[in-house]
Amino acid sequence: MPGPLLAIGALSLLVQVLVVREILVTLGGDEVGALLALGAWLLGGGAGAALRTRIAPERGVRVLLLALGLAAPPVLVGLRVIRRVLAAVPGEALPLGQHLGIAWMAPLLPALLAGAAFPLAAASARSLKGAYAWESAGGILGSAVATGALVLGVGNLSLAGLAAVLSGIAVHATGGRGFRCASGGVALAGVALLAAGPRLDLASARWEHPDAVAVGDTPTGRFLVSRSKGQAALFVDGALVGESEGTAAEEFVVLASLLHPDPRRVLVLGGTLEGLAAQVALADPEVLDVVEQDPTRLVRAAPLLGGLDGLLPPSARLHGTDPRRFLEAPSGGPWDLVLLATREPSSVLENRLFTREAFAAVRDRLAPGGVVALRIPGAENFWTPEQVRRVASVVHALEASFPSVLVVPGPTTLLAARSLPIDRDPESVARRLEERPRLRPPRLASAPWVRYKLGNDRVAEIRSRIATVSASPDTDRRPVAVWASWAVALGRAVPWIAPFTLDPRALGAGPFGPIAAALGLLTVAVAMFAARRHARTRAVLLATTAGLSGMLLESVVLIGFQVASGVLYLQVGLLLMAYLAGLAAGSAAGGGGACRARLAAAGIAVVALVVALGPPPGLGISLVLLASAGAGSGLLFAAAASGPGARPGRLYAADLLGGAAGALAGGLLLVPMAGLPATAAVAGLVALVALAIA
Amino acid sequence: MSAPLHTRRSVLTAALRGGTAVAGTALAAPALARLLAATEARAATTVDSLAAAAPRARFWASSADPAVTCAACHGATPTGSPHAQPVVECLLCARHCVIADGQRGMCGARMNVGGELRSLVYGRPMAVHVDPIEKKPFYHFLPGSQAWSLATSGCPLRCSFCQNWQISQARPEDYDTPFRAPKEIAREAQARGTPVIAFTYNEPTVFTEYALDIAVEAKKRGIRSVFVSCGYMNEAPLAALLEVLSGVKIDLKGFSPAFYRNVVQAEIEPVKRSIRQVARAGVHLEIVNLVIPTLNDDEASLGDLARWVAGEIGPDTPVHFTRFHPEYRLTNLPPTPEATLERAWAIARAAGLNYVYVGNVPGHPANDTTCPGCGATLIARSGFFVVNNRIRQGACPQCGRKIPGVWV
Repeated sequence: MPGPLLAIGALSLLVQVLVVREILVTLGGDEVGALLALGAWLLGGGAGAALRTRIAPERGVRVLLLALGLAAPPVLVGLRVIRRVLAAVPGEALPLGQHLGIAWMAPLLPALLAGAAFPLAAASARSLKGAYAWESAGGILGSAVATGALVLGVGNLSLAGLAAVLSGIAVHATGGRGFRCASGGVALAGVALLAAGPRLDLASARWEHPDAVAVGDTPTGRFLVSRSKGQAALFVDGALVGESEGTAAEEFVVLASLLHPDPRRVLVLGGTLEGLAAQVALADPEVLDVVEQDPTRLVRAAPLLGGLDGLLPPSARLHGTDPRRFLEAPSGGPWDLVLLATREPSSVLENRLFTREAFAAVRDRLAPGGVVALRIPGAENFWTPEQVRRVASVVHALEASFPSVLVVPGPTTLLAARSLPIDRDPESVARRLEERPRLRPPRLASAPWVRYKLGNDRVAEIRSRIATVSASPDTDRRPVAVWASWAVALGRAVPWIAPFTLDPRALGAGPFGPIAAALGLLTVAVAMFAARRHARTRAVLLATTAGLSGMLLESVVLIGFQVASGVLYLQVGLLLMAYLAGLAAGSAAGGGGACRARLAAAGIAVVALVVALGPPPGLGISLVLLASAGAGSGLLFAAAASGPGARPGRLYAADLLGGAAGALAGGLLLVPMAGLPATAAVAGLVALVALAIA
Repeated sequence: MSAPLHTRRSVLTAALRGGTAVAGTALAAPALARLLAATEARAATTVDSLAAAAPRARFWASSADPAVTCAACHGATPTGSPHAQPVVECLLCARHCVIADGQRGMCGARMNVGGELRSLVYGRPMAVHVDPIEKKPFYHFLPGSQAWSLATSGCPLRCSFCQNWQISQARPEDYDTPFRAPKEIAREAQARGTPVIAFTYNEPTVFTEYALDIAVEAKKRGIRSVFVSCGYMNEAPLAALLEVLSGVKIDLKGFSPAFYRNVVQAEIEPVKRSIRQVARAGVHLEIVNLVIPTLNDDEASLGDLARWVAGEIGPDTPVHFTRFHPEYRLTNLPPTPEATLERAWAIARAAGLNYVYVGNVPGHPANDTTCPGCGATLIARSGFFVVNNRIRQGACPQCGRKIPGVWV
């Protein structure tokens, strides 16, 4: 009976997306926290699967399905109210312990429920591998619903209501008499939540932001606009992005413009809601192209931030697409000045505009003598080594395309680059300011300000520190600036820990490699020894390697695709579905015998090799790679499940725990430190371990 | 239970592999040690070497001092046995840290070494820059001049909005900071032609001994010294400092004890005491209040602050209401609305304060100095930069009213 398994797969994926998305907002947009939450979900699922219950399977599955459907709303509300419960100072980052505690604890309850439901449902299935296949197929459904909701901008609470409705329907469709009332009640509660979601979203947003006037979910995240005493502020995923009374846009645009003799054709990538396009328009350029990745957010939030007309001048040409894709497309340009509205390379996705490849694309679109400028956080008076390393990695990436790079240090540091020598002379740049006509007198920019920005002693000091620090250039495939950003954040939360965040280059050259190799060998030897002693242990290890290698490969291909193509939820949803489809097909087609297990492991290793050696894949190739990786992982799990003494709960738990390890090690350590190819290579090595113990 | 699958051969093979891996790990152990050592490379100076070279601090008491009785710390009827190891009480700031042998106070800058308190940051500036004096901000102190600005690590406070957290929350051993004697600092300032040395960025109280010695050296060269402080020092060190300082700017971060406890992790009373002491000493004083939305921007609190300054310190004390920008751990609050700052300005003027400024809002008219007598604009500013200074011999050129401050 595949119904309950399908429902478990669909609901667990849907609730997982909901909870991780909400955690991201609660933690102020901290992607590391979201990654930890994902790992916690898999661990919780594993723990749930390993639980032994005495409840009758059919009844247990229905109870757990209803509980899973009802679990999301209280978790979401709990996350929205948690800062108040902890008496957190408004706007202040939580202490690290609380921060990590939320990321770990919030997913546990629904993950336990989802994990515990699977072995119960699998008990009535014809085979464990078949159950796994149906559960994966359910995951495809859940992924489709979550993706659709993201694309349509459905809020989290409404989506939680939908999850409750789906759980009620699933139980009603499969349940006995005793569950009809309960399932109906859950479905009705879900309908009510679905309808009230938008109003509840705004009401609950005011717990943390009393002046919130609008909140909404768009394909790139949750935005919130607050208004107080004439000032409007924009938050995205809980993090402050901009406000209406500041001079940040003026500081960036004016200083960057002054580095070019006469910027008449300007391209601005992002930052419209922050006022960048409006600021550029004050100089009345001949061409003003503006690229916004999320036009939906622009249209919904702009009226609350001063009006779309004010933020996007009529003369500007708006392009609603991904900035990297826009740069890499053959049409448009050339431009005299390209402004990248970057914030911080704190995630692989944010990092896409800080890399060598991004700067090469900009260089190809600049007119001769054109200037590219971007921002990155720095410090006013003292930079920690982590901060220097982060900026150095981006500067080295710029230097790969531009012979002349200028760093103007400050809390918001300006980086500018040019193929011709960039003008660094404070006097000559200040003179340009005085000579240029402006539509409105500046608030901040004055000749003394320009002289100070370019001529103060910090400029030479930071240039010297960047020149001497050991830092690799930031690239798409080895996003070292992300790792440095995490080191900066960690140093801010726990100052004494910062020295322990190593420079990845030092790791590569140091003894880390031999140590890791020795530890790896030891692990393999122990695993092989254990696997050869007991068939049960071997099955568990195979399931673990299936989860670990599969999740590592999934991470690498997804991140690689997103780096190349931007955050396109529709396509990411498709890719997730491809992996799950491969998983379902692989586990359905798989079976017992060492031969099949070895075949599966070899397949995963081949996919890993292709991923490691190939260029960042496009959509088609990514779909094929993910489906293949999923199929290999599914086959390996099926081989483990078909062995003597295989227990559904234990194997499912092992698979999820392996997945958790893959998600955490891949997302937190391997990708940012070692890069995408090396992470794929590790996935291949794990597959070879599976080959050895099969 | 499943049947064991191992054979003698497989066990031996696995043992051999395992042994190789263990041997490899053992061989790599020294490398691991080197790796860990390299990890701490940033801590280029060890605490021990810093402590060994650190000079004896001032402003502390030791349980080992025969002149210090038990009753001095524990009241009239102390219980328990005497301290096995000598402890010291740091008397520099209002925290009064009691420090065991080998330990440090909350600021991290002062250490008990065998019953003697030493300053680990003496001669160890970690940031030295030249800034416009308006950036401190001092608006009535040599307008338009440059200040040779320096800081060591350490701070007795834990403000979640600290804009210099990299400095204030660092420990002296975190960075390699070569020794720079007070004379050297004064000589550098002179060579650069800066008329002022500013002790700033972190809380300079933590390097009081160093600041005192620099200020003495600077004075010999005709250079003035100013303190940019949170005002959390005790009376005796402040009195010593006031002997050599020409100006003090104190951050009165809010006016409610709750704000100080929750956001700054300190008490407000010592700060108010310091402000009174500076004013009494006749040293030039300016007060800054960083207005943070939702945390300390209520009108009652702003009014209390303004009335207290006007009543107890004097209506001619320059007071700056500055705009908060997200920093350090307080990153998800929007900057202060201009309307809030303007309201604070109006409240302070209504309370009788004559020189009230709106800071961190470039281009705002309340960034200028105006004559309270005739309303003439005396100093026009654009951000940190003086556009026009009309003050002549410390007075308004229009009505002749004397303007408080240090003008020449």
